[in-house]
Amino acid sequence: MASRDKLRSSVAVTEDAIYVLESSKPSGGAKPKSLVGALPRHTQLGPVSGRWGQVNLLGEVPPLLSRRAGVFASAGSRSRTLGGARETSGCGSRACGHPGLESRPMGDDRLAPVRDQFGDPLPAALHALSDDELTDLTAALAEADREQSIALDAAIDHTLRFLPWPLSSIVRKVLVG
Amino acid sequence: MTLEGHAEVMKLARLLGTAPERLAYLERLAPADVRALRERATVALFDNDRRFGRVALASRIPPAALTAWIAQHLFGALLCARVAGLLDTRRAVDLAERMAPEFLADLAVQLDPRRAREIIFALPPALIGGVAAELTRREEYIAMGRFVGHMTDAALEAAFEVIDDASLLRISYFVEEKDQLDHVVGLLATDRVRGAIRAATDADLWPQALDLLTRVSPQRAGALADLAAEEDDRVLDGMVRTAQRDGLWDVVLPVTQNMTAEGRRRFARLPALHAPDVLVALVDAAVAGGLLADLLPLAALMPAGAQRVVRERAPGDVG
Repeated sequence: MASRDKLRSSVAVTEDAIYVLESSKPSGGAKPKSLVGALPRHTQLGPVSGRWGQVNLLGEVPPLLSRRAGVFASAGSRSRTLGGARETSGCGSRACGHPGLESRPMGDDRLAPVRDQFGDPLPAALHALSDDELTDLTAALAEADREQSIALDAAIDHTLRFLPWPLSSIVRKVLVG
Repeated sequence: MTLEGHAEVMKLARLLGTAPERLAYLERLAPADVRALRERATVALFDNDRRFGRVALASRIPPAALTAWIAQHLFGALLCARVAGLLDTRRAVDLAERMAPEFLADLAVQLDPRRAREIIFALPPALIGGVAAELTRREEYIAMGRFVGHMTDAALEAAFEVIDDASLLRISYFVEEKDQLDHVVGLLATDRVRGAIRAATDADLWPQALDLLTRVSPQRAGALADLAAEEDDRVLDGMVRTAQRDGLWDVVLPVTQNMTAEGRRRFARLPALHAPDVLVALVDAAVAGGLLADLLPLAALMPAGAQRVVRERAPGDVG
């Protein structure tokens, strides 16, 4: 096994989790050899600064080089749909086809939709619920999330309604992106 | 279903803005699991708050009075609750002092207290008292319970002054920080505790009162039970009825161990406790829960007829 200082981490951000992969150092993370573990999809990576800032992942895993710091910011955002290969860091499109992803530590697939809404880690006891109950639980959070988003957007629009149209759009963009 | 589990489901339902009945199936899970799920839901719902960082920054530009006006009349409580945790503490307190208690009550319902802990600690007790009064008027017990672990003693005492005895019990059911509850109960004057005990009977809140006994230290629970034992039979009958109806003898029995000898004698002599069906349930709960060591000293203080029922129900154990 290669020593730790000869290894490099990379991450693959998918719709349901952030996977930490281990590669040989010379590859710069482009050729992952194994899956080290998974982080909740909502994990904020960073903040990082500079082109070569470092982020520690999963304790003992070697630090990740932040060549694509923009990816770190987006990784914490649940609302953005990430499209696999184009959104991965380090390993690029190879990550999604990596055999390690087949054995992703996500537990029972029945919980995948719940995990997608609630993030990780989830209580293992949820396995005791029926499929209908899990579906309802997932829907309850999705409804709450949607209603809150609508209410927050409405509050911002309400605040900006006094500004003339071009300005209100700009201010909105500046304030909440 | 446990009392704690029911409270956890109610808290999750409140967070999701849905009816507790919809999530009743979660009561099959352990309370800790429902709580863990609620933690995840909180993270998921509040995950994007950082996007309001610039709103928080922008709020520093206008004078505080103008910002407070904008917050109340334009932003609204939900947006303010999301921005609050991102504000500088001094600025947030300055703004809060300029807002109406009614608006702060709206905001408190939407706020995750853990994200604004320093601000809550820094708020003047009188202001917290005003908000507590408004939340009590609205019967927002779940929201208030979430704040208990994030308040100074002075703020808690200011809140106690405006919350009636029955509401205190209702709030205790939803207190988030279990380890804080013992300390909080210790801040209550004895006459308030007596008032809460009477309210338990008058407002049918013994389930909440018995739940409280499981969430404080054994010594505190014993002291509370001693105070209850000083009440008249009518009050204690309410407790017996609730324990019998809801199967809560496994909660009551351990508490008797920490009562004074006088308090335990008073409880053991309570006529309502000597009804055959109550004694049977008491013994069954003791046997099932491994609580015979708690039952025996109590049974020894009961009248001969009651002792006979106990012996008949658990002959091998009582002897």
